[in-house]
Parts: sequence; structure tokens; C-alpha cells
Amino acid sequence: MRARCYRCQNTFETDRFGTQRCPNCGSEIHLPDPSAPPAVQSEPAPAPAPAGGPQPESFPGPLPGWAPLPHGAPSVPEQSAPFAERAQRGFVSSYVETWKLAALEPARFFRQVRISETGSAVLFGLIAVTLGLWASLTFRYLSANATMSFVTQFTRWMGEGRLENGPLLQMMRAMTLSYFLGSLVATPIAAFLVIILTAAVFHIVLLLVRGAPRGFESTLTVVGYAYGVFIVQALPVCGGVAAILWFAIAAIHGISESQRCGTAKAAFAVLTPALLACLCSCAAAVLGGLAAGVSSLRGVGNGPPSTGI
Amino acid sequence: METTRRFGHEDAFAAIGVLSFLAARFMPLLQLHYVCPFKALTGLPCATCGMTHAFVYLAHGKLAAAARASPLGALLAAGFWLFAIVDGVRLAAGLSLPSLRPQVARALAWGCVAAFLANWAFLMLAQLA
Repeated sequence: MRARCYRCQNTFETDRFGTQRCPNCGSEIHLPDPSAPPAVQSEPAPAPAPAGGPQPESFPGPLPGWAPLPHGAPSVPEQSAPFAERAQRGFVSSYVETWKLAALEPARFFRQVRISETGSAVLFGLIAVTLGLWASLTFRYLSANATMSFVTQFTRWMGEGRLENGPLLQMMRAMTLSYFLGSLVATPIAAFLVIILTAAVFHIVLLLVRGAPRGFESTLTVVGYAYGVFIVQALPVCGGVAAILWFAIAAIHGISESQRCGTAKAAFAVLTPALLACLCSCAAAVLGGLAAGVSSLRGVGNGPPSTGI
Repeated sequence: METTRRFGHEDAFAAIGVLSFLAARFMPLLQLHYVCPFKALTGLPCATCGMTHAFVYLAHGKLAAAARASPLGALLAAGFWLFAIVDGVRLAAGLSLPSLRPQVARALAWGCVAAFLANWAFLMLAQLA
């Protein structure tokens, strides 16, 4: 019979079930015997196997879904993310389930997730970034007056002329209603651009270190799902920083597992662009502006300097 | 050649190319008074200084001005927009793009690094001259 290695994804011929080594990469794999009785009756029932998409047809036994595996159990072959099956599972429940897997169990999720469904991954990230930014923009808009008042009082307390508060006050005054509404409309487009360009930059760095054996689809899948954590941008004040750090961790784990390239190469791919941003501050400002709700367009309009309510 | 109508990630890059052209052609991007932090700190241009100018100049047909502002920016803009046209034709004809071999993809990635460094050197020299 023909089996597929969960690690290198290569197929090989074998004449027996059970634990054995992949002849291509040497990984230890387990081929369960389909005629054997169920081994673990006390474990929770696994989720149903994905309905759509091609499956490794010769892999023996049913797919276990995304339910937690028993300790020491062998890994399972690639399967669709719950969000990719949103038509069957329901949009919100599949989104929440995928978010939990990508944010809380990135290593397991990205090792098993099917990489050919990049559209679902990009849509997943786009929704999270958009919702997070909308909440963040709303908070900034509503608190613009309070922030201006605080900055003015703080400047007076520090002593006139000792602290330059002009740029910050100018930024707060630019938070007009038209700017706010324009940002809300532009946010999904900006989110789409940021996800695609982030994946492209990561992938170029991965190519340099021979860390992309599974192609751009793998990198884009990881980046799309990892951007799901940007929904925590909705948290006031610290949400942006928390989102960036969490994204970096999820992306490093994800690229390492999905590309099968190791943590060092994955960390290099994720962290190098961040360091490079210091040398490319203009490009970083454009991407950062997009990620912050097209704030780089601030100041173009000549509207009245009104602020939030 | 295999035929396909599926909207893939290559089409996403083409869409970004179209968006970048529309932004460069019709939005008042050069009216943004942005000061590069790297340049403000060191007095030297950062590696991506002038790219917005290059995109805008090229979108208005000013090839020489675009190349002066940032050769890499002009090259990037031209490549992006050309790819968008090619991908549009490909979609209309229902064809698939040929996939790059890993060696070619890696060589292109190193080419990107070389172009990036050469562009930065050009900007530095232009600043010092």
C-alpha cells in the first residue's frame, strides 16, 4: 500500500501497519490498522473528518479532526482548518475554533493545516485585522478630546516650552469624523495589503535561507491565520503591542511547523523584516500607516480641526 | 497548458499592483509631509526613501524623474504594473502561470537583496554628491 509521511509529505510504499520510519526523511510515523478495534474508548469523540478537498486517499483510517490528540499519539495528516469548512460548520463557530487553534496551539495547528486553502487564511486574517482596527479607531475617535485635554494639562504641569506637544495635538485634531469614517472604509483594503505583503517579505527571507520547501502558499497560510491575533488590537492602549508580540510568536511557530524549516530559520524570517524596518523607515511608515488604519493619509484633507465627541 | 479560473495569490499581487497604480496616479500622495525618521536622525536617506515619488512619477509617465527618485522604486512599480497586465490577460485567457523552480525563486530572492543594496548605495551617493 502507499502511505504519506506527515512530516515531509512524500509518499512511499509499505506492506505493514504500525510504527515505522519514513524512508525519505527518517521521521517515525504510525499507520493505524483500519481493521483493528478502536484503541481508546474513553477519549472524547474526534471531530468529523473534513468534507471537501483532496485527502491522501491511501492513508489508512479516518482523519481525527482538530480534537486534542492523546499524549504520545502520532501526528495526523494535513486537514482543512475549521474556518475553511465554514459552510458546513457555521461561520462564527468555525472562526472561533480556528482562532483558538491558531492563537493558542500554533505549532499543532500549522503542522496539520492544509496549505492549499490560502483564500480562507487571508479572509480569516482580514476579518481579525479589520475588526481589531475598527475597535481601535472607534476608541481613538471617542477619546480624542480626553487625550488632548490630558496632553495639554501634562504639558502645563511639565512647564511651558519644556515638552513639545504639537505633533500629538495635531494628530488628535486630525481625528475628524470624515477621517474616522474614511479609515473605517479603507481598513479592509489596508488589511488585505498588509497580509499579502507581510507574507511576501517573510517568504523572500525564507528563500534566502532555504527555509521555504513548501512554497509561498505555506507562508501565506501561516501569515493569514496568525494575523487572527490582531483582533486583540481592540483592547485599548496595550492592544497594538500585544497583537504584534503575539503575532510574532504565532508566526515563528507557524512557519517553523508549516514549512518544516526549524525554529531558527522561521525566527530569522519573522524578525529580520522588523529589524530591517529601521533601515527602511519610509516603507515601514507606509505599512505601519496601513496597519494603523491608513493614518498616513492624515493631514491631506483641510477639514475643520474637530475631534471626537 | 493547464487552464484555471481560480483566483490565487498571484492575482492578489496583481490586484495590489492595480491599487498601487490607482493610488500613485490619482491620490495626492506627494502632498503628505512625511519626514523619514532615518534621514532626520542620520542625515542620510533610508533604503526606501523616494519610492513613493518613484511610483507617482512613473504613474504620470515621468520615467527619468522616477529613476532619479529611486531606481528600485521605479523598477518595482514597472514590474508590479506589468505583472498586473500579464495576470489580467492570463485570467481572461484562463491560463495558469508557470510555477518557479526553487532554484529560480531563490536566485530571484538574492536578486531582490542585491537590488535593494544597490538602490541604497545609489541614494547615498546621490545625497553626498
